[in-house]
Amino acid sequence: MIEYSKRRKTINRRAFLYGAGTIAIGLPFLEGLPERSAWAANAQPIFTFFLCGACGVEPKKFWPGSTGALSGLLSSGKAVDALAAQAANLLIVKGIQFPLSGPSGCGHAQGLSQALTGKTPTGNGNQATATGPSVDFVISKAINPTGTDPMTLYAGNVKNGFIADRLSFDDSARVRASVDNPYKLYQKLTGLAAPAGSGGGSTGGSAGGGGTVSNPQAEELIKKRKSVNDTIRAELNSLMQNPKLSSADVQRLKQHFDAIRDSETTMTTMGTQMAAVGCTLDGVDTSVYQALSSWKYNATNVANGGIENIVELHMGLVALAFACDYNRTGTLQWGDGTDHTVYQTPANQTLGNWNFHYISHRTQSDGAVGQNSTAEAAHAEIDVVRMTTLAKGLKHFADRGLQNKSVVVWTNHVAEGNHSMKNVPFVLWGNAGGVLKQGQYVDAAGATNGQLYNTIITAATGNASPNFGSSGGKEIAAVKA
Amino acid sequence: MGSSGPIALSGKPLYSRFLRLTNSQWENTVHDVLKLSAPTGQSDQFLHSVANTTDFDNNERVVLVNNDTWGDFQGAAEAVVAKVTATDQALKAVVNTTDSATFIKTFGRRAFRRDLTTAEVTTYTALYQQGSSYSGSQTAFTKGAALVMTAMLQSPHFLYRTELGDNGAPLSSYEMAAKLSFWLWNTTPSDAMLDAAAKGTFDSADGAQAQAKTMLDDPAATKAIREMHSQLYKIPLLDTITKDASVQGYSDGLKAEFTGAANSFFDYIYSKNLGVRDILTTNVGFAGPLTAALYGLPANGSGIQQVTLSDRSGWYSQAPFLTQWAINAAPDSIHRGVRVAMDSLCLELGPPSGVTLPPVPAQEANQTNRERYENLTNGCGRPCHTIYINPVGFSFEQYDGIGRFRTTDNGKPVDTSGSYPFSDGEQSFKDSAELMQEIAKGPQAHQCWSKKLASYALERDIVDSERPTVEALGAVSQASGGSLKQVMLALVQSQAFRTHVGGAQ
Repeated sequence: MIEYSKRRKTINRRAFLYGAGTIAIGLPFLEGLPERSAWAANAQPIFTFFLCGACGVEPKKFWPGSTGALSGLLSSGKAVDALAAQAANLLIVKGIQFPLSGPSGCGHAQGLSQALTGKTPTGNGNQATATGPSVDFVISKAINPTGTDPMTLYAGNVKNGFIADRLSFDDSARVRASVDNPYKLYQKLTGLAAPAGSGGGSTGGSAGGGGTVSNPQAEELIKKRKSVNDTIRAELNSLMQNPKLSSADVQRLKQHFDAIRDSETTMTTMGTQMAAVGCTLDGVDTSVYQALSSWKYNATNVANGGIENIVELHMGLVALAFACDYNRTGTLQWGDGTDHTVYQTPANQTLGNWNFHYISHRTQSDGAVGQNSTAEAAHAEIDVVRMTTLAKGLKHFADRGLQNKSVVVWTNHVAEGNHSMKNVPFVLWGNAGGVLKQGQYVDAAGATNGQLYNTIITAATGNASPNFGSSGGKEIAAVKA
Repeated sequence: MGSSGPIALSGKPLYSRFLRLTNSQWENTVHDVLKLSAPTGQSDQFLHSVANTTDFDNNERVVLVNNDTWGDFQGAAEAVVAKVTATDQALKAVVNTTDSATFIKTFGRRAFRRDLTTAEVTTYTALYQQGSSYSGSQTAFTKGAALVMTAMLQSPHFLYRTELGDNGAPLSSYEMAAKLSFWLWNTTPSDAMLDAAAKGTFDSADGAQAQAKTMLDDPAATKAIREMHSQLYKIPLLDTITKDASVQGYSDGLKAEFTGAANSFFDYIYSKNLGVRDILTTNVGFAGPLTAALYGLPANGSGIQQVTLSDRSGWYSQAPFLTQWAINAAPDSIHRGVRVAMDSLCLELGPPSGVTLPPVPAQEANQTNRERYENLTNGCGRPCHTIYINPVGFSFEQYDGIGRFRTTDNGKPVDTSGSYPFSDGEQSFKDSAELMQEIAKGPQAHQCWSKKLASYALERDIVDSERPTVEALGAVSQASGGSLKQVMLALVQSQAFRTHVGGAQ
């Protein structure tokens, strides 16, 4: 583990400025921005991150052999063995089902729409959608600063996937768009890279190192933005006074208005935890992120491990965001509903490099389900690849010492390739402030995902009875420490 | 199954008066108002709008300014303005003046797509004065102009196309100019269009139609309508096709050819003044060398070429569609039927209530693909499948999983016959060519395309109360020689396009 606290390079004012949406101009750390102390010991935030993989797992080769303490269980040739290094902070849960436990239409869209909402979805085909907000949004509303929405991330074909954005919802049928390029979050967190062609005069200084632009120039930039924002707010206010506007339009403009206000709020609150242990850029390979500045998804750059790299890069940044208290919750949709990523595992090479969705169906079809045994083997291999990636991502959280103040949840939008949503895999890392069992493999015995989220919401927000989704207010005792 | 008419009009529009520019509209508009020589590229990293939850991704429900997108617009505005004000000379390319009032009025007109009000001129003049006092090596004029442009490119008057008049009253001439320009050219109105708007050219239906008629023949319109067809017919999915290596005749090189052929096909339909009937029945297709082989045609060069497909009828009998909706070498009869039903007949197809869908079984010895799906669907969702989906899907059984013609399946003759309950009566057909002819004759497909067009142009869902408009547009399409452009011109003249409806507080 890297001892970040001994080699701390605090995120500087550039981060604060870019996070507010400005062009990065290589500003130095501004002494005028108070570097506040870390959170009080008795009010430590609990951070939550939810990842949802695609197309289920091969159950025979995924789960540990038996329930109980994980020590010794993660060496039996199962996919979760890849997580052995994190065993002490893991909680693997079987026996959880979604409210709609079998598809009545497009299982993938339905699965995604309930994976984090805990409610039976609605709608048809690939337009199936949620009937309530997702757990990340509920948590964000409760504990993020006003204007800070959950980090909504994606690894896969977000623009042209048949079922792309469908994980994070701010309300019924209101899915949140996600960010597929890690560079974008990187920009917000570090402010190191200017948009292409900005002519912004970046100094190109090293992370946290400050630049050559004087503080008055930085203050001038802030002043300019304030003037612009004031002008725009006045225009929005004027427009909102129009009596012809519908309530929906007033709400639309209000959302715009609030976004401006919130960006200014963020300017004054972001980075308040600069002194927190783990809030450093150590371990962040800035050159890797900068190389993604013009990255766009295509089938080639996510094949053969490309999508795994994106996942790990996202996770590295989320860990940094948590360590710096930049944001307290987020999601990552890991593959499209009908994930056409090609994983070139040995068995899949035998098949001729099928896409993952076909492998999960055990036949080359988006609709049919077959029994190809080589595809079954390929699915098991892909599970290992994904668990290996998850392990790498979790190491970022561990390196930043987040295991006692966060929980990272990995699940899937279906249990397995036949679209069943019973016994959907759940792998949790971190004890969420001592609430969750650690180092255990437990059986939830048919409980729903909403019931699990009740426990997590309570841990993260302090709300003792959240009654999330269609959970009926119940929790899962088996997961609690 | 649908609503009170043959096509489903069950949308839930918000009737917003504030239609935010899409990312591509932002890119094109910034290019135009700043008189740039190349796209800024800024929008490449903008948050995209959510796809596949509405008919099109320009729908009012998915194009918003929120916490996530605000930062994109703010940062991009600052970046592009920094570039065009890097030197005093660079700014002259935007507006060639050194007079602040002239600059504010000229640039403001472009950005807001109308003349600025007196109050707005006052506001931006104050902003100019503030900006001109800031530090930097440029002149005070350039610095002042920079702050003005930075603000205007973030203004709601820039970021939204607005419709602010009374319900049912015609849009202003400027609003109509913007509506036409963003729809047909995917960018802000040109200076010439704004000049025309200032003269009231767009006030009358005939005036607006005359302007639109000119715009329709511009290559920019072909490109804009290509995007609509791309989303409607799910062209991007062609790039995701994968097949088993055992499928003879398939190679990944086909994916790029399919995309090129699909775009060329819909460009052809549009630019040649053809219509829905031709989409369904033409024997003109496009193919690269790999695709030509599937059609049994000789390769003719390396690029996408126009070809005659004498035994095929329209888009749905062409290799891109047939290969996309297939399981390896076998037709995916259900999805072929579903796509035609939803994309060209505008049926709403839902899953059977409370039924867990079974997988498609393997094709058995001596069983045709059709028999396989009949066995499967007899026990599951029978009314929808038997009546609305399967007959359409089975009509394409003479085309295998990569669009090659075939007469037998598993040693048995293919059966492509069926009947379909159209809105104007049940019709029998012997194969997909006859089915497409029947579809093209009746009103349903014409109304369906018209509905999709209206949804794209108005950037919202279309509802049952608008059925008369959809039927009128459909009639234009259905009439002899009815073209896409004629339907578009008819839409421009419609009340739905020319007025703002809905939205009382």
